[in-house]
Amino acid sequence: MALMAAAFDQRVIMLFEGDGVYALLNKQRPEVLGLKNYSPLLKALSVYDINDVFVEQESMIERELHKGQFVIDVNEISRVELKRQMEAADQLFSF
Amino acid sequence: MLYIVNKSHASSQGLHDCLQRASAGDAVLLIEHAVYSALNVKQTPLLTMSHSELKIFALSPDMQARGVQQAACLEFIQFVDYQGFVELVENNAVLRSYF
Repeated sequence: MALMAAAFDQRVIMLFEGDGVYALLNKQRPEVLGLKNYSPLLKALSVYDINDVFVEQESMIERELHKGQFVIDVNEISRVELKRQMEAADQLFSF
Repeated sequence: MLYIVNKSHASSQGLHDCLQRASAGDAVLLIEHAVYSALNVKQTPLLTMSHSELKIFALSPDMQARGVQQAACLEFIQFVDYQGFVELVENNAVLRSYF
C-alpha cells in the first residue's frame, strides 16, 4: 500500500506503534509458516523514496526493543510527536 | 485444563484473564502473536509466573516466524512444535481458547 502510494508520487510517512513495532524485528522467518517474508520490502522503502519511518519510543521501551534489532534504520519519536505526524497527514491508513 | 492464547498482553486482555483463572497443574500455550509475551521483558504478565504451578508453553514455529529467539524468553517457558501442541491437547481433557 505504502509502496503503491509512493509510486504515484505521494509523500508517504510510515509510523509504527504498539505491537506493530515487532514488524521491524530482524531474524524473522515467516517461511516456517509458509508465509511471505516482508523484511526485504522494508529495506526497499528508500528506493521508493519513503525515508520517513518513525517508531514510537514508548512502544519500544515497553517492549525493551532497541534500534539495533530492526531490519532498517528508523527514527524514534515520542507518542505526542507521533500523534502530531498523524494529524498533519491528509490521509491516514491503519493496519 | 489447557489454555490457548493467541494475542500478546499488549494487544489484548486475554493473557491477563487466563492467568487469573488458571490454577496449579494447568497448562498455558502461547501461539501466534501471544509468543511475544514469552519474551523476558518487565511488562509481560508472565514475569511473575516463574514459581507458579502453571506450565507455560510457546509454539516454536510461531516464534521463528516472528524472530522471537528462545534465548530472549523467560527461562521457565517450554517450547513445543506442532507435535507437542497435539500432545498438550491430548493430555488435557478440557481446552479453553482465549482468542
